[in-house]
Amino acid sequence: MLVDVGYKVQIPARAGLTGYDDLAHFRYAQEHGFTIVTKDADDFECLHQKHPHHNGVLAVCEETDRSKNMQPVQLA
Amino acid sequence: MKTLTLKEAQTSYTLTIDRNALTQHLMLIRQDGQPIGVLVPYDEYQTFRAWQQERKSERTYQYLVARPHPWRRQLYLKGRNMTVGQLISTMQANHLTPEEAADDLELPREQVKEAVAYYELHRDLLEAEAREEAARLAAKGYAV
Repeated sequence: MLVDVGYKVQIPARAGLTGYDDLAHFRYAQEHGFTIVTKDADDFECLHQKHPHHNGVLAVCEETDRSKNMQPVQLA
Repeated sequence: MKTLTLKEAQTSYTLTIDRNALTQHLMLIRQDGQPIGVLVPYDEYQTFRAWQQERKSERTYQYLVARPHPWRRQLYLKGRNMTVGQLISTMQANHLTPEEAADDLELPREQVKEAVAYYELHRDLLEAEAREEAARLAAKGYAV
């Protein structure tokens, strides 16, 4: 979907980062100019506090109330 | 260690057991001369249960692993930087079956099925940790 609207998207598997820890993902994004999209909001917030110069972190929180989950049509 | 027979434990008079006494002397409970239980301070019991649970998890799961984390206790997917909760919330948000999730996230199907089974057993823990994360972010001033 992001690719369709012109964004350059990278995923850990293609970057050779499968299984690596948060800091490795954070460093990769920092070095390659990517904004991170993560479900690990608290841990990446901590990394943001330690290393504030980056290209942004878009954190998606886990929602225990399933009725609040966005549907694909809402995301499109 | 002090010894208490089960007969004594069932009597109606009050036993003088307090935390200090338990810390100094574990109390053994016997029935017909055989040890059947031990009274220990509650925090020691909780520590033991947590340790026991971790051991059980390590033994039981093939595709999930424990990782040290400041506050998370749930298991992670072996070989991935992903908690079971993160996988489950992705599946639920996108209405993915275990097979679809496995294909979409390039995970072995057995790993996803094991994660779903773990979620069913530890739903309270995973939901509590999702709430904990939201609370931590809110405490730092983020709108969650």
